[in-house]
Amino acid sequence: MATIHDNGESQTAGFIRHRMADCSRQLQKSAVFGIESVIRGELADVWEECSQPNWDCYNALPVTWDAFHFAEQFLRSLPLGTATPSVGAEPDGQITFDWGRAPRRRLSVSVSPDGELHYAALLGPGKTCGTEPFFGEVPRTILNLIRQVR
Amino acid sequence: MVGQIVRVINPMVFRIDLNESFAQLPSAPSVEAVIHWRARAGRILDPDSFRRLLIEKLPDYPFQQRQQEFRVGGEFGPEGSHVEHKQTWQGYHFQSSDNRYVAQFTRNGFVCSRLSPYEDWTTFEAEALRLWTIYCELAEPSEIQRLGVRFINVIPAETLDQLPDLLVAPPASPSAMNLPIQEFMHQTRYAITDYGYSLNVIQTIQPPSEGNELKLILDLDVYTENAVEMAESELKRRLAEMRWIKNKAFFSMLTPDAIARFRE
Repeated sequence: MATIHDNGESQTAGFIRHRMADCSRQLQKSAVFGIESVIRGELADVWEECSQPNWDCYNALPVTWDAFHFAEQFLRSLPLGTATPSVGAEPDGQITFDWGRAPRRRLSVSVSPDGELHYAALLGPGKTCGTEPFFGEVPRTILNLIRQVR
Repeated sequence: MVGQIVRVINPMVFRIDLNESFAQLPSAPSVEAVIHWRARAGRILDPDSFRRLLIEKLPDYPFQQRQQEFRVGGEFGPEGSHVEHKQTWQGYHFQSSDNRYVAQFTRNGFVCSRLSPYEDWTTFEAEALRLWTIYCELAEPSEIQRLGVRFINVIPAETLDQLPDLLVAPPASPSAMNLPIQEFMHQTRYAITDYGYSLNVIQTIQPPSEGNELKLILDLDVYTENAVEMAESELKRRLAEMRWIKNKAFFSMLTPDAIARFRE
């Protein structure tokens, strides 16, 4: 189920928004498509373990509500059937999602508290990195990279 | 001798033809027309001064509302629980004195909505561009990251059995089951790759409530996520193309009988 742009103002636009969200939630609960288990599992663990200063005993910054919120939104906006990432935190308080098992086929996306997505990928002999703003939809660049590393 | 059938496949190529005209529909079923610019503000917006400047420039939009993003979360543990709330300012929502136009000026872009009754494209586009120019003056976006034209149509229906009379591709029960349809929600995203557009189509029904009849919803959202130049001539060219795609989809997805209803 693709994301619908949340730009309508009429009652009908609101009805469509709710119906789409219901359908998406229903599918996300399943084991196959289930990003919900990542949110309730690994992401919740990161919040629990890393939301206090110095969570790594090396002066790490805490994961903030904003970073957590954007990370949750990011996961929910992944297209159904996307490989689920592993979740972690960085000492600067950003939440990271990692895809790929092969040593030279990896993607790491960090979600910052101001809604920026910083990504870096190893693609065989090549590598790429960059930053994309997050507007509620996973940017195409990042989706393409997920497909290349999984 | 072995016969051979050669099928010459001549796929229809989708072409935008701005010379093609579409019937004017006096009772068009549009309940909302939207033009959406995703264009992040290029400067830091101070909520109070942004609001003051918008009020100065928009005397014909007397109703304003602050748009907040509201987040809530909680922690529960053996030492007790706490709930955290956070509100983040997103922008302002302005509404015209006749309540027909809604303008959303946000940190991430601008949205102009025309609520029913829909007038005509020329009036709607002119108003949207006027408001967009104000957003550009105040927010100084450097780039348009997404541009979209969305029309939400609502078509009254008496029963679900009527859907085949309205939709060219209605939902259907497999013939081996032949079950009545109670609800449906159908979304398709089409790629218009030669032009860099996407067309998102939602067909669904809104069940009757409080004396209202069943409604068929046809939501057509044409957009590009390729960067669009800020020049007005380029914007108008893009909007004309997106409007054409929206019209083509509307007239292709509804049956002639359904369209005939809107001519009266």
